[in-house]
Amino acid sequence: MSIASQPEKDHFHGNSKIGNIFELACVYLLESNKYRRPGPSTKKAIVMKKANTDKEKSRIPRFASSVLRFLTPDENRASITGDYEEMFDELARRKGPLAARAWYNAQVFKSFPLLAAGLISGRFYMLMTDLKLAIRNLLKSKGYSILNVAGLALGMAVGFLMLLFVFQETSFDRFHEKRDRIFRFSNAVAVEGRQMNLLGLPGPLGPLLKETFPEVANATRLRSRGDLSVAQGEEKIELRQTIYAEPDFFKIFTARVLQGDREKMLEPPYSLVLTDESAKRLFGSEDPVGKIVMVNQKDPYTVTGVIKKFPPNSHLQFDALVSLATRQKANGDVDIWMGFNFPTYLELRPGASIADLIPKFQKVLEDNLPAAIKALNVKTELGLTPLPRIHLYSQSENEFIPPGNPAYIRILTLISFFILLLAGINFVTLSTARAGRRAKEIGIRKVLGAERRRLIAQFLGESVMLSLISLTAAIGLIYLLLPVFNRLIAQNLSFQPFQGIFVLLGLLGLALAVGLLAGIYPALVLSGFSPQSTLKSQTGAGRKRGILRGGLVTFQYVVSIALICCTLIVHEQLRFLRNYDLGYDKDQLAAIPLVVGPNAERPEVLKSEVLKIPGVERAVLCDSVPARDNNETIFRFEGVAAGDRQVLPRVKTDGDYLSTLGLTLAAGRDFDKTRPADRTAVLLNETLVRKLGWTEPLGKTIHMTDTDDKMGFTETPLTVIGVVKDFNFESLHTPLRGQVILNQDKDFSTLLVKLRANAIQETMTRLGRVWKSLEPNRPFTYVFLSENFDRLYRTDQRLGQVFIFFTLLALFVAGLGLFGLAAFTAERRTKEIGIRKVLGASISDIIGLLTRDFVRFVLLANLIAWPVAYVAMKSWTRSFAYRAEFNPLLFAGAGAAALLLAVLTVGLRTVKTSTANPVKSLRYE
Amino acid sequence: MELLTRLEEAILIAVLRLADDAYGVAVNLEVSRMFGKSYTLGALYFALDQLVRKEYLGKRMGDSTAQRGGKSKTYYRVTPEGKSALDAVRAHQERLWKTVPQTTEG
Repeated sequence: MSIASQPEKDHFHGNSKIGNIFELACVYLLESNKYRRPGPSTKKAIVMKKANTDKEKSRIPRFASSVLRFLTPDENRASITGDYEEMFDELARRKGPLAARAWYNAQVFKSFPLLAAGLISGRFYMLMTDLKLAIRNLLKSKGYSILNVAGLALGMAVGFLMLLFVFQETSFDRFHEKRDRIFRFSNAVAVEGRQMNLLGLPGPLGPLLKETFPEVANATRLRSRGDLSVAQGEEKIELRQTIYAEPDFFKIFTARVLQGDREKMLEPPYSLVLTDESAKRLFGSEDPVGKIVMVNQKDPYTVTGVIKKFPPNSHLQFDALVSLATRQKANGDVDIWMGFNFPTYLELRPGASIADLIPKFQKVLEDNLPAAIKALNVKTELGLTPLPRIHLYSQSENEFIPPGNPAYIRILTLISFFILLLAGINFVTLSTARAGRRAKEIGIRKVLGAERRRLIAQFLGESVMLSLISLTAAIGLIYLLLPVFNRLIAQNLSFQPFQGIFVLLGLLGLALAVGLLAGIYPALVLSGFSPQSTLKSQTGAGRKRGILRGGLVTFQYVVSIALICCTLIVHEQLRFLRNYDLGYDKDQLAAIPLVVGPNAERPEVLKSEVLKIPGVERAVLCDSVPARDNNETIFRFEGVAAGDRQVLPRVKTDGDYLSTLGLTLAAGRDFDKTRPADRTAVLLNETLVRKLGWTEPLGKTIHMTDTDDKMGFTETPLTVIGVVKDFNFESLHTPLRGQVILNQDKDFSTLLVKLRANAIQETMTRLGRVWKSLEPNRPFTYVFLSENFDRLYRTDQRLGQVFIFFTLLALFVAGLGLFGLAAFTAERRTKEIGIRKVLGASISDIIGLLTRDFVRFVLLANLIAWPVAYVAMKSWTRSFAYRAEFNPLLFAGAGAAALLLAVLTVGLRTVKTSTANPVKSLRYE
Repeated sequence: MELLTRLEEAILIAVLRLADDAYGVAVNLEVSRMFGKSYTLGALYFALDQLVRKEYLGKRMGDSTAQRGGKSKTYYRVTPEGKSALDAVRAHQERLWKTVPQTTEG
């Protein structure tokens, strides 16, 4: 039907149609620069021109018309705007241009809401159909979808748990407002060649620096007070990890004061500031301020305030603060320059230059150190650590809480990244493997005119949707795994996605990113199928693609096998440590801390009473426990060539050390209680003698520098009477040091008891009773040496557990991938298998055929994984002075295990295909 | 099954009446005439789209006319499903009215 012949309906007054055509032709010919067919706009322009020549000023209001164009969806736009214009023309003709324009404007704006609604509902509807389509597609291949979701969800969950951990560790102390201006002193002390990284400084240094330097806005000192037992009436609780603090604490750190006067609460001695948690434990809902509590059953303290507990990502963790003035009253060492006891924090003014200030601070310290310390040739080197870096990068011994380990964080991040990568790889391989099945569908759609872009969008949409489903599964997994994970890495992470908008957005972003990234390759591949090839035969079996897939599988297994090797090696090392002969019997040894103070019972009395118990074999009073304590002091050795003085660990004992610990002598004799001269005798261990180069150690003199009662130093000459066979009193991480064993009658802190092997529990009960009879007001506590020992390797044990966790994870994910691939390959080769069976192949032949390919990949993975694991583990074991040998069997075992798993995985899947009826499979197409 | 709204019913009837000539403007005028008040085009298009989505109406593109500045019109026709929807509504109405007692008040 041409323009001319279309019969016009009644609401149009037809103009001469010939005229129309003539106009059209003229304008068309005249506009010679337009060689294309006139588009709608040109035609409109033509009509406009025509309309103008007929009626003046009959233009459609421009603004309204553009609004209309905006509100209509693409497909309908032409006809809808055309309809409006038609009515406009009609009205213009009948009632004049102004009326028409008024009508047009009115119509457009009245239609605004519904047109907009139509637009939205149209888009919505399209989204819904796409969604339904995507879901139907996913459900069609349920098996694959589940595999994909499982693997991806696992990867995401693990990745996110890691992120939680890394986030927490790197965000320590950020809640303090002045965090960028707060610094803490580090104190590198060198004494006679021994380097120590101390945390404490002399008390007066902080306030002096604040007075002297205008750049120092505030200074405060802290000190760890340890655990306190606090009683209020009938209620008795333990306050763990309390800290001494002074009023300036609140000037530097950001703490929310809930009750009490922030300026005054830490001023008076014997004041206690509780956290809200501790206050609740002790006082319930009562107001604790002003109340008196009994601390450690002997001292009354006043509760002067309540503050909000510091969050877990703070290097200061405490149940209560004790006023520093208390320490001054009790120990008197806050205001003196003797000693490095108080960690000191500074708040610097903006613009202060640390590089300039540190040498100045250093000078102040050196000028004020007492002569006695300087005489010992002690060199101090000050540094300032920014507050946010303390947790991860502090080198100091005796930190408030165990420091974070940046290396550990890096390792964990790397491993979790790999797991996520593995899951993503699975996703990609499974999707591309699926490609074959959908080849026909794609071919047909292309024939029907689907653009490549639309197909890509659709496939990406599917993969994003899969990713989002995995996300929901991952969130569930995270909740499930969090307690296990927390226990694994000894942290207290919390996961609250619905409380922080960032977390939720982050998760969604992650899912989106994964969906897009992992879906791009399959989308490209799938949409790139040419219709001819897909409709003809099976695709997705290309040589190139097969190699890529194989490479990905190999990569997955390299990671898995490497992890298995690492796990095995770590555990081997741990076993080695547990069974290493330390030279003394760490079992059946209990350490009982002694009460120190003027009112305490004399330790000798306790010891003699304890020895009366039949279950007790021996006992010794000493001042340090192996594998836990470390007391060192300066020694000078006669006639020694290299380096006059040394700092060495020493133990003060009452003479029964060797017999209690079961140590043996290499030379000389043990302490003899009948010889008073033995009070100035010492035993050295073999390592020390060897290092000193003494061939005849017996009878030689050494000089020990120790503190005396007046806070000064004295040097005491001691005679060597024996040499002890080496025993490991420190962690096996460190090589054995020289050690000196002393014979004294005071300064003891612990009673070490050797128990008989049977009825240990009963012996401990009896010990408790003896204790109670001598010290009725103090609780009886003890620790087994084997516990201490285990604690030394806590981090390593945790590493072992972490490795197990991740290995299982990686194996699972890799297994999933392999399973999916095997399924796909088996299906693809159904016809081939059918033919082979008809030709006489047995089931085992078929299985062998199918698994052979995959076995190759796993074997290849072995070859790559072994060196990787070897290198990694070698560097880890370097941190141990005592190492287990790498057993090649371990590596082989790892490979075999992986292989076995792979064969089982593939085998399981291929069995079904192998046993299929050839008749059915040959009818497949 | 959901029943048609009055507007939807009117549209379907209008389309039936307009036969080959059922396009936007025509349907609008027809419906307006049926109800005695003019509907905005927007309201109409929304309802038309819904009906197409429910597959009661089918769409077909017509030719472009110079009169409309070269834009083609979309013509609508009632599908068999649409017809049965109309029948359902009519039957429903009849059923309802049968239950009303025939009282003749004086």
